[in-house]
This record gives sequence, structure tokens and C-alpha cells, in this order.
Amino acid sequence: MQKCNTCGNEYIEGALYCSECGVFLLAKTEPEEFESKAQVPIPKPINGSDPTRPFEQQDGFATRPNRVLISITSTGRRVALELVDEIRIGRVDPGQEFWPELDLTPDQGFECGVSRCHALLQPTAKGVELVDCGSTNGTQLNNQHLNPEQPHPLKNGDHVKLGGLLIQVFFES
Amino acid sequence: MVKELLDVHIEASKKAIEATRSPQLLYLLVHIRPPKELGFSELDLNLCLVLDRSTSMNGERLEKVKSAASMIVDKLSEDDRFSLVVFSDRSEVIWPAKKVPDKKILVAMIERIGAFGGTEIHQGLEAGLQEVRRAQLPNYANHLILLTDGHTYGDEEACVDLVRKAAKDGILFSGLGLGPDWNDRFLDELASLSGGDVAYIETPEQVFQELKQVFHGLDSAYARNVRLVTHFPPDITLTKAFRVSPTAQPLALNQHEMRLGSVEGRTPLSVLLEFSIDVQRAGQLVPMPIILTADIPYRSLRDQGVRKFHEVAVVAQAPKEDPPKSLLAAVQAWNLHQMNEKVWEDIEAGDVHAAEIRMEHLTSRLAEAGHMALARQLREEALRLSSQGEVSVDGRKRLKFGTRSLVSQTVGLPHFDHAEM
Repeated sequence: MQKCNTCGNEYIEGALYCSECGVFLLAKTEPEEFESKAQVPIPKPINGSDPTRPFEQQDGFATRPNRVLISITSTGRRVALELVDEIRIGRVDPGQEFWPELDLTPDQGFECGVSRCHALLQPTAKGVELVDCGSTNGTQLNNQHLNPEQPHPLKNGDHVKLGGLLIQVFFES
Repeated sequence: MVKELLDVHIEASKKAIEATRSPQLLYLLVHIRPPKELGFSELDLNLCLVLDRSTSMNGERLEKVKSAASMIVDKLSEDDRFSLVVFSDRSEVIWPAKKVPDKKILVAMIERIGAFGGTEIHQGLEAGLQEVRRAQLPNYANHLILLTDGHTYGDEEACVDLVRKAAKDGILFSGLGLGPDWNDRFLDELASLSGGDVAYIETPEQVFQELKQVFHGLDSAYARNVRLVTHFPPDITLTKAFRVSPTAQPLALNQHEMRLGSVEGRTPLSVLLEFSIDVQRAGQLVPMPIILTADIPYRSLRDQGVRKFHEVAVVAQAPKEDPPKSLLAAVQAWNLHQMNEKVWEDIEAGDVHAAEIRMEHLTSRLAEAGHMALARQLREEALRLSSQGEVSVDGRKRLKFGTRSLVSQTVGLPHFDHAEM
């Protein structure tokens, strides 16, 4: 048997999509696997930079990242997005014509307290910043609560908690 | 058995399955095309149009249907056989099956059709099929197109019997539903018996376009009456089937064979098959024979068999492999359509809460895949359901046929959901 990571429904082996919530059932579930087997290589910080130090204290990436790879820890879903403009993270609301670039509805975003427009990833000259949009249940970066509307630099592999939903962010130049 | 009559290509969700103690699913996407080296000429048509003239058709609907019928008449070639039947609670043969040497006479007769009475589809079908049979020739494309805007009551079983018998004689049935009030499940049942299509016509302005769509391709069929033999080895069960191309349509799982439709010149006839495979031991090869039977009018051949053997290896540990992208896209779209159908089943069963949850999930999936119009429509229906406790009949049809058409859009596309890795 295989289980849908999003809604918990069970299916016999070989099923491809969840008939209840529609998500792909064969999505990889281990974030480690995502790190090691991502089709696009994840860049390493250059010039001996320390990935544990904040981005602004590092020597930075050779070039600004142009792609962000996001792993949703609870469901194992992985999404790759181009870093051209800001990326809105939240839940889709067709009634309000709101279509965030990263929709967390399939990952139980509503149940986990993710707001419709919860947070932004903003490309800057040096890298990428995370901004909480005044969400109802708040945003944490590596377990640190963020003040709303304040940009915080992100580094490769950072953990971001949106309400109760944990994601991990990787960059590619 | 002449293998080169059809080119059959099979994509499977797995090349190898694991030896397990429980059944598992396997999907096959079967593409059927004319052999590359063969050209073929257009077929002559034996077409019957069966038009609903009941009172509800009065006004713009009937006027648009009449002008669409006249335009179809204009497209007939001189060797085509054509018949026109109108029906309400009784039928009338306006033009018996024969060639149309002077189209103006027939167009003038169409102009005089008026609306009255109720809707008894059996009346129209019986008269229409009688006309198709009268002019039936082996090398003609024998086809009946029914256009209605309403429900028929009490004669459904008789209609099913008529279409089933006609299908055995190689007559294809297609249904066109106009407006919100026709019975889509009933027309689907009739179409799936013969391998035909059902289309939803939302407004009278679209009648000609949709009628032309069905008409188009009838005379370019390379193979007609294509059937899949559904006898598989005892440990393999065909559980679901859906035609993906040239038009998306559910297929009826009959006991012996399943009618798939026609192979047109330009587009492959593609069907998605879901199998349940029982417990298997490692080291075995599971045979999954795809046995097709078809008429090839261009070569004056009937009931020709084509066999394509597919085998799946059973191994102790199957390698991790991604299914082919076109198969994945077809299954994903098919799943969206099935989710949509379940929404309405939930509502009919009185389980509004389950329907609302499913609508929320489906809205997200449609939006993620870029189908914004369908996502908005579903959202509207979800709001209507929560505020008024009901959904709109036209919204239901729009979503049913809208999500169904997503399936046919997947053939040949590299990937369905570009945001997901």
C-alpha cells in the first residue's frame, strides 16, 4: 500500500495520483534525497563562505541565484521556481483572484495556518530575502520569529516555518 | 491476422513490477495509428442527423440548429448518403437516406421545421437508425448524430438496446447536448457503447462549430469500429478505460470487447487503460496482450485483428523509474476529471461537506496546472453550494466537459505541471 502524504488516503501500489486531493503520489518523501538527487545541482557558496553564517556576512554567491528549490517537509513535495520577480507563498484563492507562485493548499496549508498571502521571497542584488506579509500565524526562519514586513536574508538550506508548515529553501545560480 | 494494418505503440507506467503479496495497478497508454507507409482516401459518408424539435427548442435554439444542419448539408460530397430525422414525442423523416443531388431542396425542407411536443429520444433514434441501415454500405462511414436539449423519460433502456445493436453493425453514435437540461450521463452511456463522442453545446451560437467538429473527421477515418478484446489472463483485470484522443470520452467496460472509436488520419486513437495485477512471483513475465479488431474501409476489410504483445517483468526489487511523461499527463488530467465527477456524486448523495473539501482540492489542482477558467468556475460553484446549498446545472456541465477536455489536451505534450519537479 502507498499513502498520500497530503490527505492520508491509502492506495494500492502503482496508483499515480490521489483521487481525493489530486496530488502526485510518487513524490519523494525524504528531503535528504531531494538534496542529493535534485536534477539541478545545488550551488555551493564560494570563496570558503560558511553556510552557517547569515547571508549578509558571507562572501555571497558567485552570481545572484536565479532559481529557488523548495521542499515541503511534511509532504515531500518539491517545487522549482524561477527567481525573476518576487515569489508569493500562501494559498490560492480564486474568489479573490489570488494565485501565489507557491500554493501550499495541497500540503494542508489551511490546516497548518498558512495565510493566503503569507510570505514573500524577494530577489535582491546580493541574494534573496524573506518577508512575512503580516500573516495570521507568523513566520519563523531557522526557529527565529520574524517581524512582519521586515526583510531577512536567506541562505542555502534555510528552514522556514509558515504558521505550522515547515519548508526548506535551496538556491541555484 | 495482418499486423501491418495498424501501428500500435504502448507506453506503460512501469517496465517492471515488484513481486508483492497484494494486487497492484499498472497503466497502459495505447496509441493506434495508420501504418506510416499507407496513404488513404476519404470515405463516403452515410450520415443521419437526428434533431430534437420539442417545444423547448423553440426560438433561437431551433433556428441555430436548422442553419447548422443546412451548413452541414452544404459540406456533403455528391456520393455521400444523408438522412434527416426530427423528433419530439414522435418522429418524422424529413429526408430519407439517399444522395443529395439538389441541396437547395433539402435546405428549404429544413427551413420549414417547427417546434412542438415533448422529448422522446427513442422515437428519433429508431427512425434515424432505420435510415442509416437502409443506406448502409461496407465502405461508407455509417454514423448517426443526435442533437437534443432535454431529458427523455421511460425509454432509456430501449435507446441503449438500439445503440448497442447498431454498434454491432458498425454504426457509430455521437450525441450533442444543447443548453443545461439534457441528460449527459445517458448520452455518455449511448456514445460509449459505440465508441462515439458526446459534446456539450453551451449556447445556440456554438451549434455549428460543435456539429462541424463531429462531422469533421468522419470521412477521414482510416479504421472504424475499433474494438479492444477485453479477455486478459486470469490474474489481470481491466478496471478502468478512457479514450484520450482524438476526443476524450469514457469507455464502457463490456464483457468481451470494448469499442474505442475510429482511427482518423491526422490524430492517433489513444486510450488509457488501468489494470489491476494480482500477486506475482519474481522472475515471471506478465503477458498483457493488446488485441484489436477493426474495419479498414479503405481496403474493404472488416473485422481485422491486430495483436500487440506487451510484457511486464516481475522482479524482487523494481528499479525506481518515472512513468513516461505523456502517460503521466494523461493520468493526471483523467484524475482531475474523475475528481470533478466525484464532487457531483457527493452532492447527489447529500454529502455536501465531502463535496466542499473535494472542490477545494480540485480548485487548487486546476489553478496549479494553469486552468484558471475552470478553477474560477469551480470556486463559484463551491460558493454557491455553501451559501445556497445547491450548484448550477450549467456550471456542472461546463466543469464536466471542461475537465474532460483536459485529457485530450495531454497527448503529445511533454509535461502537464511545469511547476512541479
